[in-house]
Amino acid sequence: MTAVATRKTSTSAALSDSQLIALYLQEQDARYFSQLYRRYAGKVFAKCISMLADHGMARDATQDVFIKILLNLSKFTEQSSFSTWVYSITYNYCIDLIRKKKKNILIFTEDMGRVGTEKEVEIPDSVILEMETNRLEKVMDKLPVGDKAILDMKYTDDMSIKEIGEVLKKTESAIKMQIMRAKIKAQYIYTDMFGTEPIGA
Amino acid sequence: MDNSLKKLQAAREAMLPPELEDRISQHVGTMSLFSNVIEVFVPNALQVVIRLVGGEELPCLKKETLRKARANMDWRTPPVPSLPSPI
Repeated sequence: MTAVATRKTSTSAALSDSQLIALYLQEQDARYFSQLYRRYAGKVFAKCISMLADHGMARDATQDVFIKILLNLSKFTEQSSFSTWVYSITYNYCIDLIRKKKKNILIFTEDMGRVGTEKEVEIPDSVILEMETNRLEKVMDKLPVGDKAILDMKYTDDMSIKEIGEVLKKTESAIKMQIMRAKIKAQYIYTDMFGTEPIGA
Repeated sequence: MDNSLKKLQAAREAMLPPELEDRISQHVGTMSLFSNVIEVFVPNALQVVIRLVGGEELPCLKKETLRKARANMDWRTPPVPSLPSPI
């Protein structure tokens, strides 16, 4: 690697997402895109594996998502952050893939109608956030794919309700309702699988 | 301290196949090359089309030039530039 190339790689690590995008579009230098890849590949892959529940499919989906990002990079307007834009592409790609495989798949709990006949009560965040990781993985696998994604956006990526709404193209009140229903559903699944055992066990 | 969902995500992030970066880099390289090719050829091709539509008779498409080019097909003779310089 030449001295200039080494300098470019080391300085690109300190640049913001917007600066990297601008430089990539201007210079068409692959190093800038590689830097974006290193920042987001892990997160995109984790989302794909969470939604698709298959390692091979998640790997191919991650590759396709990054090619989509590459092809549409010039269309990225800074109305939202780059991470929100990336998660939006990932989410929509995975949903399309799942819909192609299973025609009548339910994306959100609300698609099933009401969650039982019981009252919708406020479920504390600790139900999800303090659950033992192996158990949480099993519970998440049983949740509808949209619920999984919405919980991921809220509690893993710390996205605001507004940002989640932009990704899912829904109103803020609809998102709040879906988060609440996803938590209720998660609690039901937990009780079904592990009975009354404490969540942090 | 990270919550359980973040821990789960971190465990999944660690499973990212390392060979994926090379595959993406190849695509990025191909795309860069392709865009450079387009940048070089498309303006010239467009210029030729515009001149043709505008009714200009390009020397390379004149019958005499084509006939002459056919008659001069000899490996010892260097080719004559038939397209005028775009500049």
